[in-house]
Amino acid sequence: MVGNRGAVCTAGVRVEMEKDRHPPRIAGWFVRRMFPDRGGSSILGDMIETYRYLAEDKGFFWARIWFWGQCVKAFPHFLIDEFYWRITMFKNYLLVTVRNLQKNSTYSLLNIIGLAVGLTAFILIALYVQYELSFDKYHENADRIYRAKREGRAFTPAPLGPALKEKILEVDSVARILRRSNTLMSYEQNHFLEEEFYWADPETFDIFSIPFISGNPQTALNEPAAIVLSQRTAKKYFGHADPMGKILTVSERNEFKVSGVFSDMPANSHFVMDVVVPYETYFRITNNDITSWRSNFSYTYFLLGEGSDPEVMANKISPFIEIPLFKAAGAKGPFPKYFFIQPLTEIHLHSHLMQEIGVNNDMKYIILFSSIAFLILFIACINYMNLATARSLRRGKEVGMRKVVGAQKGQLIVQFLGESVAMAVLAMIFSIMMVLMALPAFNSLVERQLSLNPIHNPQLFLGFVFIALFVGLFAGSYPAMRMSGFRPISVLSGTFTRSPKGSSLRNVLVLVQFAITIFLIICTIAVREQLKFIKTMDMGYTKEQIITLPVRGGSIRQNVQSIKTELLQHSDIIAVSTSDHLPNNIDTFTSRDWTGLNLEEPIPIYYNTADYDFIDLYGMQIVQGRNFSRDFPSDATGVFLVNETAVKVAEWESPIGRKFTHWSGETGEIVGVIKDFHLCSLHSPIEPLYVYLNTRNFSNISIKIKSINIPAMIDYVEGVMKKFSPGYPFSYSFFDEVFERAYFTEQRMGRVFGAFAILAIFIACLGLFGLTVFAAEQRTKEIGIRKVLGASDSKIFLLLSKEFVRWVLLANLIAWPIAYFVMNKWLQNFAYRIHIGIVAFLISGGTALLIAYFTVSYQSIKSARANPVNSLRYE
Amino acid sequence: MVKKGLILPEFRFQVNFFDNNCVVYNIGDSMDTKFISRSEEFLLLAVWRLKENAYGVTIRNQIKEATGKSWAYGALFVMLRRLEKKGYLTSHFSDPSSQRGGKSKRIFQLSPQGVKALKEVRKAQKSVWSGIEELSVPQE
Repeated sequence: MVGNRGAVCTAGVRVEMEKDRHPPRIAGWFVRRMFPDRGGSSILGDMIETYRYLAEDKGFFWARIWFWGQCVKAFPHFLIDEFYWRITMFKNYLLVTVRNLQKNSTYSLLNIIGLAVGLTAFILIALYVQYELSFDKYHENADRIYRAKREGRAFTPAPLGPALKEKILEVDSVARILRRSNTLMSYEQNHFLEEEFYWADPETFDIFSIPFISGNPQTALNEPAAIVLSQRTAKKYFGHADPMGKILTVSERNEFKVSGVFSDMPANSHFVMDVVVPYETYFRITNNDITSWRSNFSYTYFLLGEGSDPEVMANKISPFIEIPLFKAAGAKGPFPKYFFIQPLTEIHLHSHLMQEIGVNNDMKYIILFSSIAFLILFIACINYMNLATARSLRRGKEVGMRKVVGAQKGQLIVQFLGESVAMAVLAMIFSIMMVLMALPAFNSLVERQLSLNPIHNPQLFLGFVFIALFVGLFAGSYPAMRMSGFRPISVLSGTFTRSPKGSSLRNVLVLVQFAITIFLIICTIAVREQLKFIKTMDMGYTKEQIITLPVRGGSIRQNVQSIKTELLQHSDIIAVSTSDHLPNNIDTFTSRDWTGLNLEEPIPIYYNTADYDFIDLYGMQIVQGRNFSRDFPSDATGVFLVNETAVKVAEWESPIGRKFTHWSGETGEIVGVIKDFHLCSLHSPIEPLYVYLNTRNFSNISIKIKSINIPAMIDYVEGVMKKFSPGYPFSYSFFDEVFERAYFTEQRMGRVFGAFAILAIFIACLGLFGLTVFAAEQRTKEIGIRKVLGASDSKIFLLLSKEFVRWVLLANLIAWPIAYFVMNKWLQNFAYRIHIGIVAFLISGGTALLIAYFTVSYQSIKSARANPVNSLRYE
Repeated sequence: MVKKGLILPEFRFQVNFFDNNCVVYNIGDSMDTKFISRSEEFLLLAVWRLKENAYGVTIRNQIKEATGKSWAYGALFVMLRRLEKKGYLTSHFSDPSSQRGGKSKRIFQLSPQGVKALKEVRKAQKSVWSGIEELSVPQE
């Protein structure tokens, strides 16, 4: 037993000794990984030798520590060494890159400019898209804020807010907001029409993150006569004086005391408030019933509790709010869904309701612009690939030499990719400069205030680095793969020529480039045509030579008759009319049953109020009955005009003389039928309409003028207005401009398309130009021989240009159907639209061809006219 | 007369490998203008002294003996490899020995280029130190 145990013991010791004779395996493995010199022969062998010596001398423990220490110490040396060789090689690559740039400066310039222009377009659009996507996201609780809406409409009744808060647990807080633009506000002698004037619940400042500069956001709106201003508005009224506690007069009647100032809301909000007064005060002043479910003119925003499911919340609206209401009104089920919700952050890009608080953008355009950005970047990359591959022959010898000396394919790929990344970085630097220069123009194009500010936008610069890398790698990938694949033997023995495979791929790239360009040109033409169509289409009213003045405040309304008389004394003023809406934007309607058909689902009818001169001033036609007329004293009690659509929808046989009721209850006779005109933009078809004669209530004055000396005439109008309402801020617009404003999004799209189509053409031409230059170079000898044998200059010219022409023609065939499809889709947005004729396609195809031809011909003519002696004497 | 191209330098058909973009590698070239570093000098001298028996362990010991500093093997290896790539050293492998855990030795030898480099350093050193008997801080 004892002996046995002893044997085990000695065996154990021996095992341990055996283990110790070897240095630590893990450390050894590391050393071998770092210095793989025939399995670590030299260094590891040396270390083991020293380790054994040390082990005998000082014991295995110290030897092991020493070994580990050596392993750790070797690591920095390993890193430095790795780096050293990398740097050495990198220095060489850099040198070759710089030499290449210098030697082929034209080529490099073409390439870098192409990339830079592409990148510039990309960055500009990226800035824009980033900005549009950022709308309303700055609010701390942005993801929990929702807006209540109705089917297709943004306005909700006033009692909805409190009902949501009271009946639905998920709702933390509710704020109702009501916008009254063009509200007259005065402080001592300063009068301004406030565009961004809001009546809002005090909770507004809980829900939205609007930091206060002075005053307490919690209590600022608690007093019924409190008013809260944005910083810029406070400065406008009070300069540098402390605004707190000052009294402001609103609409010449009501006084409000400043109780807070908040910092200006960022422009990337779907509504920007400048003046905020308590919501409930509005109802008190205007004698409206705040508990009435019938008055739809405010927006309801609410904050969901943390972790609440918006869908669950939305499903509760029907049982808790709608059904009790329907039942109270005595309606029988099934009850339709009436209220819906939408997230705050989706309003700017996804909400296209009527009665929106401001002009929203459309996700479609964002996607469209982004695609254009990527297309242009793609074209620029293709350009690079094209030129770089065309150049590859010139560098064939370098590749061959490197390979002979021992470069591996991977190393060459890294070298060429590195080169293209360097190009991309250079182009990026250029393009940032170009962006800085182009930004003001671009800002006015898209009507935004974009800036290239690294402090506000750090991720943008990360994006730049990423894009430069991506473009470099992507654009460089094909040339790098191709060039690194050269066989040194064929390159160096001189038998290397441009392979037909490579040239056909380059032609395909040109094809794609031109297809994209043609596509953009067609889109530009189609958008312009549609806009021209809108502009010149007979809307049913005249747009020219009409000035409109917005009216707020009582003094003008009281004196309107005198104002009209005085205005008409001017010889250049033909007519003056007052109306609630201008004819291009009649967006108020009532849904009560006006047809007398007892329909289950009432048809909404739009309405406008106007005076006697409205119809004539806007050149509308009466097709049946008569216009409002002072010759009929009974008209003064209130009469109606309806449009043809209303008559048709209501199936009236004789509308004239029918009794009709205004939405607010006044009744009167229908005296005439107006020829249909477009009430809104051409996005929607013509709806039923009535016009109620009312000379006292209006929001606009329209003045028809002769177009002689307009500035003097405007001075005169201003003088008259000032006379009757001193201090009233005078502002006016030309009706045709107001009209075009409604198509702002489309106009912007047209302009952006146009601008980027030009860029795309430019880049594509750069590429084509570069290619012809090289094609001509390639064929110098061929051209020389042809000329020696008697070919004429024109023959040579045709020979060189016909190849490109063929590809551009083919590009047309690809681009046409795609453009047709996309533009047709876009035109569906319009109830009235053009048909894209073949002309647009022919024009764009022709333009592309012409430009391509010009580009190609410069070099072609040069080569065709060259003296063959020069090209052949080296043989 | 060759018309100068407006756009690009004219294209010549030449069969000359060293024209244009070809780069000739000659790393040693740059050493004509640069002296080897002090540690490189130590290493080369150590190799020269050790004659046939210059490999990691002996070189390290030699340097320790001469300068009193013991180098990390990592540093030693990296420098030796670099000197070899620069052409100052040549090396070959000996047979593996169990003493070294079955590894062979990498035995280094000075190349003519290495000798030249050492001579140059020596020359430069002589002229730099000439006339200086003893180094002391100048008294003011």
